[in-house]
Amino acid sequence: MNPIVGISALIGMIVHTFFDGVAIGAGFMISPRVGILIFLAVLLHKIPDGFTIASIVITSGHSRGKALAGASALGGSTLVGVLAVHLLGGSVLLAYALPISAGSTLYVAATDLIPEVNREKGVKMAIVVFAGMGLFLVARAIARM
Amino acid sequence: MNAFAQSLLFALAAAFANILGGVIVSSGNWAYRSLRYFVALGSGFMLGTVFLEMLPESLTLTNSAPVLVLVGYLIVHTFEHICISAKRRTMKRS
Repeated sequence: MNPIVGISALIGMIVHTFFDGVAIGAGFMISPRVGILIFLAVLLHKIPDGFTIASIVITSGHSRGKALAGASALGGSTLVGVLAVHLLGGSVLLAYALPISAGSTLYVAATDLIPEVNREKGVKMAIVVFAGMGLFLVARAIARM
Repeated sequence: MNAFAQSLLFALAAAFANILGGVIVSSGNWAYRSLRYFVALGSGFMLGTVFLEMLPESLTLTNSAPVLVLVGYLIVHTFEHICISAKRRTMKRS
């Protein structure tokens, strides 16, 4: 695979992880409860994200060190997202940041991840998706106590 | 602890998970197999968060929430579509 693929994939994923950070930052600005729920939603796909970028970087002909650097860049971009929403912050920005990051989270979940899940036949994976939703409901119930 | 410190702390944990995912790449097949369940679990959790938490909260913040949600969706669509057309083929192969 062309080495340029690794770099362009990294740029694409950096945009998505930036909005992960924006979502976490905006969530905590609303309340710790919303912040923690969004954090858990982000956390559950962070390891697969790091895995994905590292495997792309390696298969496009770069070293393992560069693969780890790529995964770290995703982490860094998440932190930049948090910094951006807090430093530029204020309630006006928050009113824009939350809906925009809702849209980006919707893309990552429904358009990026669900097709991955659907590629596997059988009901087992479908049930795990429902388990994820159930986990969200449990987390929300706990956060409301 | 204020909202900034809280979100920075939690984002740091999330960032660490990114790096952990990168480390797993070199750790063998069993890790890759369990990742599929993380993807399924995570997507279910995210759908719940978007539809039941982020969307209702956004609608109380601004009247233009619907168009902003679409903007957010299209921003990630644009970048991922341009940049990662090779991404999923790679995952399938590994």
